[in-house]
Amino acid sequence: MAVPQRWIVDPRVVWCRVGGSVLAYHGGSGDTHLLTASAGELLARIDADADRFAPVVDAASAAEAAAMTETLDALAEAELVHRVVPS
Amino acid sequence: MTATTANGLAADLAGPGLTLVTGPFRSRIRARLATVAAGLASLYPPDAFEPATGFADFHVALDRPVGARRWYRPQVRFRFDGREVFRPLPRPQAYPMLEWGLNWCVTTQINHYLLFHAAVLARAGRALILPGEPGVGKSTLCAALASRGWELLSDEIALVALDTGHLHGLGRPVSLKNAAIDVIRRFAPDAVIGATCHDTLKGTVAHLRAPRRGALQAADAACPTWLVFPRFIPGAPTRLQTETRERGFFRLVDNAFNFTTLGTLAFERTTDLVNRSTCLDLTYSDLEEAVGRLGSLRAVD
Repeated sequence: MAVPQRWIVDPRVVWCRVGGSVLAYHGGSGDTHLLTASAGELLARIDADADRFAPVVDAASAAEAAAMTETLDALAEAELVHRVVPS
Repeated sequence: MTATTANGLAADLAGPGLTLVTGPFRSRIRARLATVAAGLASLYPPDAFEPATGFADFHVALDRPVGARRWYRPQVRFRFDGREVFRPLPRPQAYPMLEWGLNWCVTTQINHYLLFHAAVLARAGRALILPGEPGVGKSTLCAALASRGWELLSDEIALVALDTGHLHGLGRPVSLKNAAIDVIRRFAPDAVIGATCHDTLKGTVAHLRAPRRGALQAADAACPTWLVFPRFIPGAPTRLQTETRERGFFRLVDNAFNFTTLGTLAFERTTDLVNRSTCLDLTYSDLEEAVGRLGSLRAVD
């Protein structure tokens, strides 16, 4: 059985809703990223519940899980979130 | 201080120097050039000058280079803390060089404000911010608005307080370039415009004295309310259109001086400013129409 992936927001990242989007700023690189509102919601969920958040388990459907995974991969690519490697 | 006449200022500038108080900044200035004294006397109110005592943010001097250029095609040099930070310019450009130098001081030395390349005006404590790179027509628009009842905070550098997010005034003259000089002379015949200086790197330049009310209240702060990106396009109809906040954020950051230096604090302050403002895009060619459209803006609480 696959171990659910867990995530943590990079502590150097701050984000803020602007218009209909979310802007995330990485205090390390100095880069600002324009995110969709759903990506911003994921950041907030991870930050609020870093110990438990596991998208595949939390998602209501396979389609939702796939969408969340895709968004998380994009956030990870931007180095806004990091995978927590299970010990 | 001897007096605030050109002769009095010239004596102080050549002697102990004087302190020019502009918004939150104090500049200690020394210069042995009559044109600098004349420019200061005509473009700043008397209460902007204080004796050369106490703390000053910037210590600057304009003087004549040593060597042949003291006499042959005479030049002027600008020094900051005793260091020559620009190449010398032809001596007739001494006064514009002082204004440019003071801008340089603010944009390179100040990090206790978030700084944007933008004109800022205010009405009833609400700030209109006009960001833009040189040449988009923001100084012309700024001068026109200042002559029609808007309080001038700054024509070049927006000062955003890091704690409150409010805009602070700089209390400096408006820099007009090339055709804009005569445009403003026609638009505001009572405006006080200083000496015209030709053949500078920016073309012909002249400075507009800040209306007295703005200069006096430059220390006050205004709440960010309208963020308008202007662009003068010859022959274009006046169009004032909604800009998205997302695009407004990035367009504003493109005009920041110290966003990278201030990092997370700058991000939080900028997003706050954008979220508190109505974001608009303005294209215009008719100055009267543009001023009228901006004058009809209402705050959305």
